[in-house]
Amino acid sequence: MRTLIINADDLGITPAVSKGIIKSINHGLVSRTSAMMCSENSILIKEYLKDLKGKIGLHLQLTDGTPKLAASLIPSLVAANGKFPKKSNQLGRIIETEIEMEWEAQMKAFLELGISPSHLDTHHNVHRFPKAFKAICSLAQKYNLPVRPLSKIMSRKLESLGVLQSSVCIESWPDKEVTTDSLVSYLVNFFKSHDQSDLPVELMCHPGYVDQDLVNRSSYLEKRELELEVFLDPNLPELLKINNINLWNYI
Amino acid sequence: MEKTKSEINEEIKEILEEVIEMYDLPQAEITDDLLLIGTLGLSSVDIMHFLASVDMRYEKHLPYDKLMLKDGEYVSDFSFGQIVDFVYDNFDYNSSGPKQMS
Repeated sequence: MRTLIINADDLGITPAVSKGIIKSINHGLVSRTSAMMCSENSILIKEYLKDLKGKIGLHLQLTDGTPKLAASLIPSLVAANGKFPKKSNQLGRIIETEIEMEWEAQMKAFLELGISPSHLDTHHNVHRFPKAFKAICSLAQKYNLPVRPLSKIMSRKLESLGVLQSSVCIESWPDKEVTTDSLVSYLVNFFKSHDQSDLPVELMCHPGYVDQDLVNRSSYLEKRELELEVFLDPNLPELLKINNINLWNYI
Repeated sequence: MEKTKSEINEEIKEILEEVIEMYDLPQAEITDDLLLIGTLGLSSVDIMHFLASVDMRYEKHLPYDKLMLKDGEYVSDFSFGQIVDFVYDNFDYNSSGPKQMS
């Protein structure tokens, strides 16, 4: 069985990206999204909840945002201005207990929206770092939520903890060209060359529109609009179907 | 102050020990000859994650494409010693600094 979860990261990063993500779910093939609690635009997420029941996870952050806790409580996680560093390689010597505290605070902020997350993942996939991975595992076990696996050894560990939902995650847009044909071609080859598993494969993606906020904070710009076009392409459902790729149904 | 190779060896060893413990990998003595794929069973993705942890430890971004490619071909495995040598040889002391503001 070939089953695909398409997850749009970064809900709440900017208004235009968020609008594009919602469109990709309501009118396209994106299965679900992951929401950022540490963006100045996180407040927008409330507006979209009615469209996202069961389709919104928590995009835990250690980068590119303002932490929920006071900087004095999490000194290893913040820069001199009290914010998270911009990129993951600027994290330095992070302390596991501080990650756990901060992520618990981000979880509480999410729960205050009045819904439970469908899953956990991280901005810039920072849970590839062992200390962050330990922290996300603790949170996942506490709230009984699945976590995005980034490799086989990670899948194995998550499975042993009972918090695995997909067999593996395709971490970035799979081709230099962002087109429907290149996506389908990549997926067909991917499913052929990987171990067959009963679990779905997750495709991480970044559809959205570009606004000035995004230009100020991200280098991934025009391709977000191209990704959105792909997921809204009326030919995509048929192309997946004839290649025996089923979309994950959250219900 | 510049780091000695021995210091870098110890620091990268700490990172690898953490990976081994976290993912229940085969318990092996970490020597220069230890193979990351052949002995520990890491995949190329896992190695990228491990090298990202090295970058994070030093708050740098080292040019790993030079490590991955040899004579235009992808290297099929890496020893622990090779990683240490690479980091020592490519450590850019000028690019170091505190966390950059978000």
